[in-house]
Amino acid sequence: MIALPSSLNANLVIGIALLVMLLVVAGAIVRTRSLLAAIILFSIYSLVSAVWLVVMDAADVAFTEAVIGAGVSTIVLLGAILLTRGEVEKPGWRALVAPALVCAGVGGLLIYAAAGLPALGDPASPANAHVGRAYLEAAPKEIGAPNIVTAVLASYRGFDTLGETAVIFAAGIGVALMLGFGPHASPLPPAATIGDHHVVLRVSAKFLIPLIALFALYVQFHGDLGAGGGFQAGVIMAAAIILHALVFGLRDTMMAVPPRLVRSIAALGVLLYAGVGVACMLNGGAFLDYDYLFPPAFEKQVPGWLLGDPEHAHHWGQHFGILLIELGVLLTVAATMLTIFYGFAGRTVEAIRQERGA
Amino acid sequence: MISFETLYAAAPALTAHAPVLMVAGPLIAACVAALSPTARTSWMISVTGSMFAAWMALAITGEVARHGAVDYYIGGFAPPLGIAFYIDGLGAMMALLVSSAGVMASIYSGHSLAAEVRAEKHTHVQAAFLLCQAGLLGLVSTGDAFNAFVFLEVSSIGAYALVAIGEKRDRRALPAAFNYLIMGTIGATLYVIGIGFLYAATGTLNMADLSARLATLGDSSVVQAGFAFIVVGLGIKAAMFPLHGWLPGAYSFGPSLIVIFLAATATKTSIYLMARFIFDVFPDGAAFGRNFIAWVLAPLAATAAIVCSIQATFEREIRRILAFSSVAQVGLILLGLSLATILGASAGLFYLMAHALMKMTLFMAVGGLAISLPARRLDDFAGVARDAPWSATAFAAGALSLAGAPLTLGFLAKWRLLEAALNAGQIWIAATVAIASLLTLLYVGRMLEAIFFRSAPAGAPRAVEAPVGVLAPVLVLAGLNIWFGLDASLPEQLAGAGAKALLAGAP
Amino acid sequence: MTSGGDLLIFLALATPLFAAVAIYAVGRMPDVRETLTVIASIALSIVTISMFMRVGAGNPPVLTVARPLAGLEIAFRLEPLGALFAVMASALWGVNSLFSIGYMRGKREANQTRFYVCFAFAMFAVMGIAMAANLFTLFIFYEVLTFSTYPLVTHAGDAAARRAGRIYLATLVGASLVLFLPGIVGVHLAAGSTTFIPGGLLTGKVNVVTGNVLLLLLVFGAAKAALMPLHGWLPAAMVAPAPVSALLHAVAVVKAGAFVILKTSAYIFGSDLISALPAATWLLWVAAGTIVIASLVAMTKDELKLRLAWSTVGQLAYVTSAALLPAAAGLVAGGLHMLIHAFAKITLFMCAGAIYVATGASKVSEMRGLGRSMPIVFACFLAGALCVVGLPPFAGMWSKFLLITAAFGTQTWITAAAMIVSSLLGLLYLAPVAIRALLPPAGDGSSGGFIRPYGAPGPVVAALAITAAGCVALFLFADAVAAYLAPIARRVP
Repeated sequence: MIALPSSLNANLVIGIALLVMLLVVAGAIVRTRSLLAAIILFSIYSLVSAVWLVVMDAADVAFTEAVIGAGVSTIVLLGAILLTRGEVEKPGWRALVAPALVCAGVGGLLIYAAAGLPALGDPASPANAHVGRAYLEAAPKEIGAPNIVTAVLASYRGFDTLGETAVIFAAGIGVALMLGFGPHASPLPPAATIGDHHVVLRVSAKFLIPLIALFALYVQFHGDLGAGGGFQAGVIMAAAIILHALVFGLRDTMMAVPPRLVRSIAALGVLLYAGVGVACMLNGGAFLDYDYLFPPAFEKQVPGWLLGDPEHAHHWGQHFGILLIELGVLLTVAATMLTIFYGFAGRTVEAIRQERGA
Repeated sequence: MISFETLYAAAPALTAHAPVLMVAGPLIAACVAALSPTARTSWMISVTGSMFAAWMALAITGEVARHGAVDYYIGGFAPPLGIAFYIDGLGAMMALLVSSAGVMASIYSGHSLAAEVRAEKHTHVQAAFLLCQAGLLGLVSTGDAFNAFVFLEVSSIGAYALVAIGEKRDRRALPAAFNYLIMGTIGATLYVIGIGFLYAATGTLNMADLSARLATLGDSSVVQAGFAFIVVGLGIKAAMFPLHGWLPGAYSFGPSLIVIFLAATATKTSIYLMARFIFDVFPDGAAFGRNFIAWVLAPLAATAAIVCSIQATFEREIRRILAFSSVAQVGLILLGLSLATILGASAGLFYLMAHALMKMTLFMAVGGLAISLPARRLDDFAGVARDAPWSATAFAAGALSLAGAPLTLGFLAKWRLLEAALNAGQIWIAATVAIASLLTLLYVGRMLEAIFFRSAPAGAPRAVEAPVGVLAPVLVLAGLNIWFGLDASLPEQLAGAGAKALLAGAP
Repeated sequence: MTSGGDLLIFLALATPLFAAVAIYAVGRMPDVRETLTVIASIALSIVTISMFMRVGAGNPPVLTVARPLAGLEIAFRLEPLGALFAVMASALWGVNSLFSIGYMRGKREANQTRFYVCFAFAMFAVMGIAMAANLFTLFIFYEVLTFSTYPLVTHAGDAAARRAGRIYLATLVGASLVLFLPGIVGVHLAAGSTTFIPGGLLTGKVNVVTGNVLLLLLVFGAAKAALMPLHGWLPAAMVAPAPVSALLHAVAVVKAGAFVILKTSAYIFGSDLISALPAATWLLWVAAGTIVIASLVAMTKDELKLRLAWSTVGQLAYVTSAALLPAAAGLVAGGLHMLIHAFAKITLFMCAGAIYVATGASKVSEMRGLGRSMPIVFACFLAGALCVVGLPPFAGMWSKFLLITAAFGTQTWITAAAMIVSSLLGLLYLAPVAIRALLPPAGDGSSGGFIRPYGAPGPVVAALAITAAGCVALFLFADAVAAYLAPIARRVP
């Protein structure tokens, strides 16, 4: 955070430039009548904000924004517009009054509040001085994870993360209930839509898919040390499979990774996460207190060198706990992304079939 | 006389973890339900999960009654570093309300869902329902402002999806669910922006810590904006007039399972959270807080009570009548809370429980009738009492309670509200309550007249009495409306404890 | 020693309730149904008379049923006024049942089972009102009475009846929710309970402003007492069949309103507080206005039942005035008037019903000379009329005498004047009805044909003869009744 003044100035300039870009893109989204253009602009918006978050030194958030905002949601939205018209009518000015007033109100309030906010990066600001500082001081002792963000998200506020995983699970259930069941789910062969002229795509995809999956695992396990973790890894993993479906056709993918299995995996991920919490409880700790992940009797059997520094013996439990719950997050996120994709793609296939039939 | 200490029964080992188990139980049950093979197993899991949560809620209520507020540090980290559950009299009351509503709704869903949703979807419907329940239970027990947001989202996302699957019976469920989704998401976003401001101002997310730090901070534009965002955000979720646009659609077109559960709990938990912020988190002396209560909250609540009651009078569809009535009743609850006295808050909370009970009875009875009678308009229900006397009787009990007929819980709720308003010297609030009761009587009279005193037109489809599995919970709830009307000591104690917890230190 | 007292209260509530259920069950058999009604009314009368005697012996029955909230009880406790009201209502229910049987069969009315069921329900409510130990209990039964009589008012089922029903419900329920209930809540708030206490619950617990507001809320809230401007429902309710008008709108419903005001005055405010409240004086003016205006309006009505209804509006205001006079003696006079007017007015309404069922005439102008063919009915009408006016040898004289004495005694000239004027007016609008029927001017005997053979049915005539006799009998026993009521005027010990 604390940097040389010249570098801070550079950050400032870049930051302002990026925010202006965001504003322009947002304006373009509002103006455009083409849904396709709007989706691409949304994707650009996400990427620009990811870059801006990097400039703000929030690498973890930037990472998530990039993979979800620019990646998966673009694919889902593209799937959705195949089911509808590509254009929207220009709304009359009356329809714009209320939203404009709401935006003006919210914006005005934000500006009013911003006047009272502490300066960016001020070490004395409450956000940095109170709990933030406490985390920086306590995390290495209590958790042992080098990446404080991961320590906070997965351990101190692990319950929030469980809740967020449940949110994603719920979203997956919602999409599955709406789109993923019944006759729509049965995929069609891609027929002649994907012809031989996609051979370059297919060959490169064969190279890319394992690499992407591998990268997902890297992101997963690297979460302890730097930016990364279950959310990002899950999305990347899902992206690998979605790429497979895009290139090789939905039917083949659904055979390799059946939708029913995917839905079960989403539930299993949350179950794993919550199960870790219950396990800690059964061993005498509080819910999600990874220090109690393993029964004390079992822990006595573990050779001392595995436990590392005897003073911080419990880091072992914290490490494993974070690893396990991140795995749960990965499973749920990847499976949910796939469920959503299957839902939309299945519908799209159906829509194409109807068009051909007509 | 039921004393809620006597309700308490749980193994000591479970009691120690009851706060978190109450939330984790339904959450785990949701996963298991999603994994379960058949509709029937998922229903059994749903009932088991809900009952477990209710058991834990009872244990907590007993514990709170004996020893005061319960703390639970998740992950073993003390706040403000970690997330802590903090359940006082108010939280216990809400937890008991939500979990009992969950039990009733889940038992009821065994038969009602089959008529409304394809069997293969049941596993996921039950999973979403359990998630919704877990979210609401988490919302009322957490002591952390951001954690509350997470649980608000858990419950909402499940609810959006569940409303949308009402499309099998009525395509209008889809726009209604979309409306609900957009409004709900805006509400949640505003709330989280508010939390962000508070974090910027204080550096903490724990409610108790927030309160302590805000008290020393004094007014600033950040805190004021945070307050505004939080209240408006939660106002949308609580269907506070005029932010209630999503509610009538969502309550009209969703399947009965979710509608009865939402009607009993969804707006109530948001009211709870709003009350927590207004009375607990923000310092008592904050001028904007007091001005907000006197000049925004109370007038809006009174408008809701009158305007939406009138709207309900002119609606044609029975569920929409009930939905508009819900918005009006939310107004009455907020009027009670806005008195900001112990008597007023306890009257508001008493009304909150009473309204949950009667609206649940009403929606359940309508849902039970709708199994055999795919009707929506009030006219279609003409003379239903002859074909389905038990459902109609249960409906009548709920409706009388809603209208505030003597010997029902609804009457006592109105009584307490009137008493609190007069005691606080707020004559206009008492007058609003009385006029709203009159208006309520109008639309309740319309409904009862159609169901009991009109005869069905010749050739109209006839209703069949609901199956026992549906009827049993409906009749239990209808009976409770009367029972509590004769002996309201249990809700009275719960509301009293809640009000004391909410207004600790207030007059 | 109260053993058995709670059983009596239970019986007083259960008898009409059980009767309602039983009548519904045997609805298909008219003979059994009506026998049941009569038996129930006799049984109820026995129960109420036992209670009456217990109260007289200083051993009032007491029963607490439930306590929904702290300080809020559903409880019953008899006192002289309530006992008198209960006996009066149950005895007149019996007489009225006799009348109903004749009338309803004679008119071949539809939905007779619903009629008898609702009647029994209404009596259940009246018993609850009479025995209530506190305002809260009283309110509950007061509402039950409103709703159970609604189907009776709209019995005809046509547009006019439904319109009247709407006015009926809107006025009574509206007033009770917007005025009466807040008033009761206010009492509860001020005193911590709503129990009727001899000498006044609120004595020393409220200031003048609160007392004024509460008095206004409670007196206007009891809209069944038809104090202007909340009197509109009573003439509107005259669309109901004659037995309904007779029992409910001469005895049970309207007297429930008057009873509420008497009880509120005696046991909630107490005469000391009433004398200290300016609102009581305002209300006395309103009541005096009601007395005179109602009498004037009654003179203009050609429809007999309507004329009687307006007369009732005026007579109820007598009771209201009595309750609000700054002297405790007013209460006794009010109670006595409540009883005597009930006998007189039920006689008049039953006569109107008898005339209607026998000849189809409902207008005063159609009744000239009818007395020749129906001498008993019109003789009884004359008795009732003179009783209402207050001439000897009819009981009405005593209550009027006591009322006017009390008004003079407290220098409430306006009330005294209104009562005297309205008595004279009453003589003008009631007595001529009977006199012209019995002694028509020569050469004016055109009307007089029966629309059914043998004229009015036997039970109808028997019923109205009994109540007319009652009007005379009470003339002899008025003193005993007044003595019985004396304890309600007792001051705070």
